[in-house]
Amino acid sequence: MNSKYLDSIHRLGKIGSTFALLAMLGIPTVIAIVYNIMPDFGEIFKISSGLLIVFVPVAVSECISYMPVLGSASYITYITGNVLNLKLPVAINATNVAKTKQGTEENDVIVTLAVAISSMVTMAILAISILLITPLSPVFSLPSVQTATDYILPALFGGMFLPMLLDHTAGDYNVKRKLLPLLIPFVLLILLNSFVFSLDGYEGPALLVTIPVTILLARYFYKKGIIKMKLKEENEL
Amino acid sequence: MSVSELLNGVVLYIAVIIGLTIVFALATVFFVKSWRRAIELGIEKAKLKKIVKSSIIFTIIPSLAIVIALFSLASVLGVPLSWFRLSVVGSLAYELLAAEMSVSGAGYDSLSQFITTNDIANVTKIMYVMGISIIGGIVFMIFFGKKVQMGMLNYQQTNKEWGTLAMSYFMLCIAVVFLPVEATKSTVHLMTLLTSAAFCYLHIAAIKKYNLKWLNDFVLANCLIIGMVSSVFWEKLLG
Repeated sequence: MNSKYLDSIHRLGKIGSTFALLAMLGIPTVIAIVYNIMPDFGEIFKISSGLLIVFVPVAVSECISYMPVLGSASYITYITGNVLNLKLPVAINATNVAKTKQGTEENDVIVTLAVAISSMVTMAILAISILLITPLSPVFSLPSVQTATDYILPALFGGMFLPMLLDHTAGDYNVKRKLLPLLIPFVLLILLNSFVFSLDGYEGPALLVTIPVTILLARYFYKKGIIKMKLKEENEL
Repeated sequence: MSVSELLNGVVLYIAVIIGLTIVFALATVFFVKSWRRAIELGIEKAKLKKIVKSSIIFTIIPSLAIVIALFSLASVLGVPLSWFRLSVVGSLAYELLAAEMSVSGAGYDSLSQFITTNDIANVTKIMYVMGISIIGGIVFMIFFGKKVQMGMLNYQQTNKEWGTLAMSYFMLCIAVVFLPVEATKSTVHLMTLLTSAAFCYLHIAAIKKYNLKWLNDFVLANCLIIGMVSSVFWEKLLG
């Protein structure tokens, strides 16, 4: 990868993220100054600590787990939010459409392009919705529309994950028995989720355990020659 | 002044619009920068346009779901703050939860109880708490984003064959963790997921059999729409 491009995109990402942080905390500050209602910051940190315990491990695990997919697009992804329900699928879709390989600069650029345009489109749609909030409210309040919205994640995951599970390649290689290392974590997660406790809301920490376990299993199968890799033929590339 | 009046006031609208303008400009800079780099790398304009078109088409449906979340959130947090939260950093899944937790941390029974009071002194407290609680990802990216990405890329490059294989498991692990969680939530969740997956399979088969390469750009968007529509049917049948 071109280090000059990466350096500049990371610099832009850090500046942009700092702006987003300032905006996030600047808005309540403006309100506090204008209405003369500056809160007690000690109390804010006391209340925040409970939420931080829940949200920070999830956020950090997501940043690490999604990094190979999002690359340097992670900055604009986290700045504009809606990661799992929109930006991650957009990134995966762009990789599939462009047929680029993870870990290449082409893929990094394509994913950034896709996430940036997606962020702009969402912001535009939300702005238009605000202008049309009165006429749109009855449509979006329809029970069938509400129901369909409640099931957006399973509707998304079916179409998003199936091609991944059917794909027996990794970069320029065809891989035999690629799904084998996932079998044990998958069964354990089903059992844990069904009989011990629901992982709903704890997907981030679950990923932090699943990824190293899967990679260790894959390493074992790869070393033993159970997982076999072969360079793709010229016409497959 | 009531909490509701403050949360729908002009000052908050102006502050939110300024914040959103900056974020939109930032997304534009990311777009222009990556487009230029793609051209430098020799990627054809036609291919880039195809990716942009596919990304826009795919974004519309999830964005409409975010609009629905905006309308629900606006009834409790007011329009401008909900608009800002769902455009910057926030997410459809976390916002209501973060608002509920912030309000209960501040000593109220529920969001609806808070909104009907005149305790405007607590509005900024709740806004700060909601802001601080969700910035973990951004703070992590500022301090460790580059290090993590470079570390992963270096590992992949120095361990060519094995490194490529290891990196490919990150995406699969996301599937392995999220699939059981979603599929076991209810029978309707499971059926919606299976319907979406079945239509995805049909798409893939049709693309292969009839060489419909153009359909590739619409697979995920189509499966999302079909899955969501099917959920209404499954809900009536099984819910």
